[in-house]
Amino acid sequence: MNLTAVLITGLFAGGVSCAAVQGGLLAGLITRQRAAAGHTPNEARQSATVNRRTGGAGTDADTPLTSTDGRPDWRAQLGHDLTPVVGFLAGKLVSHTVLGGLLGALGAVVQLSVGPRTWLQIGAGLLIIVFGLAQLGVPGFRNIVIEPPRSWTRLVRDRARSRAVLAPALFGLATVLIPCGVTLSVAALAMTSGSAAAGAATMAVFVIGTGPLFAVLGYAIRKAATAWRGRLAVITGLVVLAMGLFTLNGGLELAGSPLAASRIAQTVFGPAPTDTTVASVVDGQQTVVITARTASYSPSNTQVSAGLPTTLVMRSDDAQGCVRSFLIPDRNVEKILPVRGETRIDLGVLQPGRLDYTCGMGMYTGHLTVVKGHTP
Amino acid sequence: MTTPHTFRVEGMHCGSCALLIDDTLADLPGVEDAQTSMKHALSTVELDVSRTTPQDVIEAIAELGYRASTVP
Repeated sequence: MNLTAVLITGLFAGGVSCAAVQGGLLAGLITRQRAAAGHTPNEARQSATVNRRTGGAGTDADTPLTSTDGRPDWRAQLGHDLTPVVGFLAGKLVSHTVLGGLLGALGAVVQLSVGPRTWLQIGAGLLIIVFGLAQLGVPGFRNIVIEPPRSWTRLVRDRARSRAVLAPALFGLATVLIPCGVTLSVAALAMTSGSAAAGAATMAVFVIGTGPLFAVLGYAIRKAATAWRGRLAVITGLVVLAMGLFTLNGGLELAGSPLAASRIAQTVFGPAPTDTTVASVVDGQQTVVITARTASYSPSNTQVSAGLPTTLVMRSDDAQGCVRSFLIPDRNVEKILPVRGETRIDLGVLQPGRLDYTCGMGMYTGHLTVVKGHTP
Repeated sequence: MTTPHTFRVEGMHCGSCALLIDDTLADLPGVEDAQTSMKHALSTVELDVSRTTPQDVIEAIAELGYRASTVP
């Protein structure tokens, strides 16, 4: 999955899921913290209950900040209100980025070659689908619930009830111990990302994506989120299921399975039109030029001749994301393409048939159609 | 004097939901401890019924957006 898709997942699914729930916990923390500054502990408890129900953490426990002329200073008030939210998100960002880095590094050890990578991706996809089905309460999957150990939950709860200055940041840091289904799915994606850096980036972008909605929903108008909480099981279940199918399909594409989406689409809608313009033969040597852009390999179906020594030239044209990890599973070819420039891959003498290529995540695919006796 | 009360809670989707319920119930007067399990969809509350009734607990959980009922 590329980082834009992860950001969008964070922005909507992660944001809604986290904001509605962890926002409530954060609101309780802030309110207790602020109320304790000027009230007895019992009054602090009471006002936390009221605030959590009505929205607006700290609004009734605080005296509005005023400027020197005595009028309410909305800038100071906004800064005062948002500081704990920013602290919380910063803590959350740090712990999730570290986790993503560790998972990416672990995955990189396992998936040094195309075969294990394919199986890791198929396994991750199936696991995420199981999470999704469990979340949706599908019979047979209903009892598969990942619940963190009691000691972890207690640790997070203690952070949420702390009144220390750094409590919001420490609470954010600790939330890595209580992941929701969407977060677990993104963690599985981080594991299949291929490197520590890509894994860290995946988790970081996801948490950053949750930020805006968190700030708005989790803080300003939390009351609206209350009505959603009970329905989130279905919404997040569907999102997790979709991510699982997407990841599984990546593995099936890598494996060249007839069940992969691109193969099914070809069966249903017919194969992509064959391009004959990018292959040329000079002095008995065939050269095929495929252009890699951020979200495609072009053309996706190229007709070439069998029986000729062939060089595949991958021309990168501002290629970003997983399209740069280029695989030809049948030939065990794996190359990292530059953002711009050419990469030459010797394919030897081609036999009639079909030669598939894909990006490292199985998201972008294409193939050469090798035909007998054809001279481009 | 507190006694344990068990409630069935529906609509939780992650560990944070259980924590949010525990955190909210802990702020109610007369609640000594609350342990909610997402997996078992149950919340066990040590409750002083002279200060907060089981119905108050159900309402507090419902206000968070979940469905709660007493377990006989």
